[in-house]
Amino acid sequence: MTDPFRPPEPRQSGGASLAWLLPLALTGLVVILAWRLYETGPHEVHDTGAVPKPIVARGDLAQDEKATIELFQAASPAVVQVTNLQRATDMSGANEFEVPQGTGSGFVWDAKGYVVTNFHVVNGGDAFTVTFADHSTYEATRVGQDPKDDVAVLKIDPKGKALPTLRPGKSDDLQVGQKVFAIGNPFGLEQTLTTGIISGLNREIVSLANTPIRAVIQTDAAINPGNSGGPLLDSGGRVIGLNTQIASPSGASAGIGFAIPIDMINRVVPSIIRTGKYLHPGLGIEYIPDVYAVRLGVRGVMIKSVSPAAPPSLRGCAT
Amino acid sequence: MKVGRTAISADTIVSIGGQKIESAADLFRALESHEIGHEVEVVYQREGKELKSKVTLVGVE
Repeated sequence: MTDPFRPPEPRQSGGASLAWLLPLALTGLVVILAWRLYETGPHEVHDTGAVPKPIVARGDLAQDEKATIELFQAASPAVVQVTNLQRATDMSGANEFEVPQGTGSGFVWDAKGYVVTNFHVVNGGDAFTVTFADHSTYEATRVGQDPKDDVAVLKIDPKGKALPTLRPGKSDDLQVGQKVFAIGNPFGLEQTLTTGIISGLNREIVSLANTPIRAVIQTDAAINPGNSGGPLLDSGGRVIGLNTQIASPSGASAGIGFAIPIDMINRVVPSIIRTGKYLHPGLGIEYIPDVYAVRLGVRGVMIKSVSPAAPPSLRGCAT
Repeated sequence: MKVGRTAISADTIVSIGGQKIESAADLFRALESHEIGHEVEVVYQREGKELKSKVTLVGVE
């Protein structure tokens, strides 16, 4: 008979298995601790036997690599960095000096020393310098510009030196998918090559003069601030565009760059070299900005004033 | 047309050479499709009335 006040005997079998597990658990703990000590503890960081790794010989460069290298070597001597300088005076007003205002890119148009760049690169500048890949630097004077197409021309004195130039191509037969190469000075990093394809054609961008520039080439070759005014080349090394703008929420390349087509450059630049300007067809009127017309509910362009060149039948609001 | 206290009576260009003009960009695009010296028909509104005029395009910077 069992005594109800006597606690039940511990079950022998269960107690024996627990006692047997204890040393096993302790051993495991010791092993873990030892391992951690080994892992984190001080050990030798230097290897006195370290020598340069044996170089692995490589095969020939791929055909397209060779082509890109050749293209860059042929074109880059004609691509320049354009620095825009502004005159400033010190606190006393007695000393005048020139402060670099910004840099862009450009390329040599012909051996006489004409250099093509963007209007927005030279805008606001009083003096300019042009720097070549070999770091030779020339003072440049402004020949003229066409703000509506964002094109400007500078002139350097080659001083008898045979200047490298770039050959213009054609932009009316370009195709989406063609390989393109941009050379310029993004963020001041001179002679930078970036590559991509023509991503789109016939894009429209807006110039500093607030006019639409049409037939613009869209590329995914990285274009960044400082690339402006540099050439966009085709795989034949011919200039097909002038790198001008990007679409970017951050200000850096987002893979959407715009180049003014060479056909336009090839019309505008000779005119600037001849006369300092490029004339667009116009009515000889000044108009009221769109925002006011919209506010007035007017659909059309309101004439603000007419120049003597304008046809007498047109009347502005000032009359 | 009256805006505040100022009366505005400006001619408003609505088409050039058959191309509809609704903004300055439209005007620029239409002009760029012609050449300096060419004659184009300009349609404009004056005090609600639509008028037409042949205009010879001049060169502007």
